[in-house]
Amino acid sequence: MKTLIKKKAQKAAEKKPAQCCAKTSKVVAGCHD
Amino acid sequence: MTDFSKHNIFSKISGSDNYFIVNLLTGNADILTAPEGRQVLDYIGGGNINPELLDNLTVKGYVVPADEEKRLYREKYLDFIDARDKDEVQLFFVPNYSCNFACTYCYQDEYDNPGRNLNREIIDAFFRYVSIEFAGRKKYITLFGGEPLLNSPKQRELIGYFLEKAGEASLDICLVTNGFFLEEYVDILQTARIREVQVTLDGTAEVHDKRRFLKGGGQTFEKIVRGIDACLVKGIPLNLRMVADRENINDLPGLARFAINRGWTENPNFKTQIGRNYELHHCQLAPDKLFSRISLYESIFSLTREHPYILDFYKPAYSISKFLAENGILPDPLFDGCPATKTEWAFDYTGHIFSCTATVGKADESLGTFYPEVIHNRNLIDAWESRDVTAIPGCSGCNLQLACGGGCGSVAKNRTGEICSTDCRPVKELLELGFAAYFEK
Repeated sequence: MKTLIKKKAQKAAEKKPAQCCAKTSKVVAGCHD
Repeated sequence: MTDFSKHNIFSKISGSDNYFIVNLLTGNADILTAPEGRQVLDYIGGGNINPELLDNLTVKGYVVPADEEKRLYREKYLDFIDARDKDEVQLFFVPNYSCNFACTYCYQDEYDNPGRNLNREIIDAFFRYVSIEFAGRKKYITLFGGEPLLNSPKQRELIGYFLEKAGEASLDICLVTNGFFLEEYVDILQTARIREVQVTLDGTAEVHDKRRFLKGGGQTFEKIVRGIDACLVKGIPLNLRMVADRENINDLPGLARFAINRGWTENPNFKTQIGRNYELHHCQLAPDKLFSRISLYESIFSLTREHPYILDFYKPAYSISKFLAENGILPDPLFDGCPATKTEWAFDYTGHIFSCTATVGKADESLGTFYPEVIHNRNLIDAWESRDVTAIPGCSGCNLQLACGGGCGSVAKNRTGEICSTDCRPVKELLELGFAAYFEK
């Protein structure tokens, strides 16, 4: 098994939901599809 | 008693002998060799597994005690609700449903265009409503349509007034426009707090002009391109959208090359997205040309293998694959993929309130009014607000729920009549492609 989680990134990154609409570029409705 | 987690997403990587395993609840993601993957398959089927591999799976939370998993699920759900309550709200405003384009696939083409026109009184009522109902919440406004940037003197005056009111309220503005009159509006936009302008090009000139033309006929590509240039020159962030189906997807390499040659992709204010042409409210004349959710990404995957420079123009998400590749971490579990009435609302010039851009303008979807008086249909709003994977019966046993989030409430309602029903996303298949694209070099 080879992990894809980088622990340093885990500490540094601000975690955000995977929600399409949780992006700063959420101008329009990617959520519908 | 330990079990294979109910939230594991496990499958073979497309075009590879390797497997992947992802668990959004514990935040782990691994690649397994072919022998390891086969052992996990045996284990799921009730067979034996190498003790060392079982230990690894247990340490990483892929094999867990059932009660521990329930506790973690509850904890993460509360974290999600808490974060969402603090998240920024996107408030759409439709100044008109009319449009100067006659796109071949318009989903609003059967909308009535009610007789009342936008005026300053309605704009004032909207900003008054926002200041009261969304007091204390982070928020921004997106102008939507129809086409908001029509070039009549009256429309320019009203859009200018709207932007002025947004400025007074210290609210950022996004715009969704077909881009035809962007050049003419850049001077007005420069006076406002523009966060982003979204414009659509469906390919290079010939392909685009066959799909997105003026009412009565007339090419639009060249003028939109000049509008994009004008925005970028003035430092206005530009989000270029391509609406894709089988008729134009093979022009993606051409559009990518066009954007690269024009210098757009080097500009930090330029970003892109690809949207699928699909049937939202009514059937289209040629449904055979439409992609399914997975077949669109299969096509994009093939095209990016053949023309890698596409990735300079557009990097597909393949569910959470791109996020994992770019951040080295999984996103938080998604208990609700539908922002409607939670972090998104829509309003139109008739004074009506709607849940989101998919429902805005549909009379039977109105949740109330902000003008001439404030009225809320509390029962309907409650139904929308209650929707998440814990409230959708079809999500409860699904191992993909924390990546899918139950999908779009409006699409689900159109399909089943129920807001709290599923709109499933092909998460496993997307991850099969995404792991091949970003981790199997």
